[in-house]
Amino acid sequence: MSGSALPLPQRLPLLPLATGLLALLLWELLVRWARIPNVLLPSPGSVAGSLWLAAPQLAWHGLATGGAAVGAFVVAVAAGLVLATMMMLWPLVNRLLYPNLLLFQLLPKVALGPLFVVWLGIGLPSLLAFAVFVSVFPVAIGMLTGLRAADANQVRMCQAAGGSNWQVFRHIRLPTAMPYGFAGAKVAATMAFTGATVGEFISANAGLGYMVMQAQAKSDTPLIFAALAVLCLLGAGLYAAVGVAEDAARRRWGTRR
Amino acid sequence: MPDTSALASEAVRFQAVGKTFPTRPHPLRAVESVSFSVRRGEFVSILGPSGCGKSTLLMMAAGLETPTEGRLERGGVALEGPHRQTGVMFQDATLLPWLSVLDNVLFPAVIRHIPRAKVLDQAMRLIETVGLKGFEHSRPHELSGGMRQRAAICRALVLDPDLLLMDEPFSALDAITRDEMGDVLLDLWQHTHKSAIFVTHSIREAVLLADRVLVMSRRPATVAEELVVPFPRPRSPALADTAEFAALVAHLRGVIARSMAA
Repeated sequence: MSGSALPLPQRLPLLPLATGLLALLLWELLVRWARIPNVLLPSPGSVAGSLWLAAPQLAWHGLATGGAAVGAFVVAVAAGLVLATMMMLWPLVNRLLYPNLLLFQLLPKVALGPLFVVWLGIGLPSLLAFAVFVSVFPVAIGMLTGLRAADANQVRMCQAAGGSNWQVFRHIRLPTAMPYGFAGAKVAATMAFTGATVGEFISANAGLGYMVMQAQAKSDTPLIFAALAVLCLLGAGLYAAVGVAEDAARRRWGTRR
Repeated sequence: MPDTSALASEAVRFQAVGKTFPTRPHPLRAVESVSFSVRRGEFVSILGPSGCGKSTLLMMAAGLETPTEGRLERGGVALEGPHRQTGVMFQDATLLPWLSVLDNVLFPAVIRHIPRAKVLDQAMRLIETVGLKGFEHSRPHELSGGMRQRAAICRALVLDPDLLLMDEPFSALDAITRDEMGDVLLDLWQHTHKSAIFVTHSIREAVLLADRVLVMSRRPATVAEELVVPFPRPRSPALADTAEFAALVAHLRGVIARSMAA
């Protein structure tokens, strides 16, 4: 994982925007020309209609999903940072946890969703716990990788200057790990929304995931698309917020080349 | 605690120091019963082939490695870990890429919890002395290899240590920059009169800079030969072009060849 190679957001997203609009146009034309039924594939126009008509509902359920995902994201980042720090500073903790973390990372974590319902019941607690569970790993593993990537010579230099373990951590390892941590947080931002939505599929009475299930039951495909559009927007928003935080951190603490 | 170091006439003293690394399957004997001392204000060069254990010797003096045998004294007191009055330079400049040149130079003050204002003047003076004025706010990646090592010299000296330890500090530089850095160091050291241990495999550097040269044997490292450099100070880089200098370098080359054959 190379944190420094991540592309910065482009300043003028005109070209990708044009591609997107063109795709929407082709989609609209295709649906009209081939007379595809709305239940199968709604045209962008009818999705926009749904967005407009269901706006209050979408806003309400979007708030529920967004709140759950952002909450889970914050908890996952905090827990991931604490886990990585503990594994770095205490070899015993590392030996106890690291192989298990890797094992969990390999697991299709989403498949464990129903277990959370078994343990925590239907509702917000199981939803949040599940969303935290799926998004904590990229932060913990990314951060630990970054902390370990610290240059051995720089560590020696710090020790020679009289640096304690904590100072080596604070002044060498942490700055080195910053890009890795942000890369992990970006993955976690996406995973938190995935976790929240899947959680809502299986155990909720609010949220966009719940709304999608309801719309599906009523064969209201345009509404499914409308909910997904809101979900995309929310996910992109959180991702962008992490990007802004990363830029600010880089400006404040300098870039690592 | 009384400052006993002021009483001792020796900055560093190695007494039958040995070091074995517990590597597997066979422990690695890096240093074998080394005894020597560095007087206050003396510049000692340690000359030896790559991988002979001379770096280990220096890392022990820096307090980063503990001897497995013998005794190591710093200013008359047993050394236990990195010493506040010791500056260290490594093969690599080891500047922190996320800090400016100035912040890199000030780094030891941060670690020792010394207020920035107290050492800022000293840092700026050093930066000017080594010719980095105007680059204080540059990042290390904007500097050449030689400039980075100059910043590393400033960092090693910023807390005004009485002992400077250098582990082949110019070995990663090209030949021209390398000679140039030797001259910078010579100039700098002659104005400060600190004690210094300089590990190198360049005979020219060793002789030009040092009052005394220790030639190390192959691993495990022992002192194979000790040679006092007779040239008076202050020396200038032009000294390296004299016949006497060339003769001493040739003599040392012979000594090294014999110690290798032994």
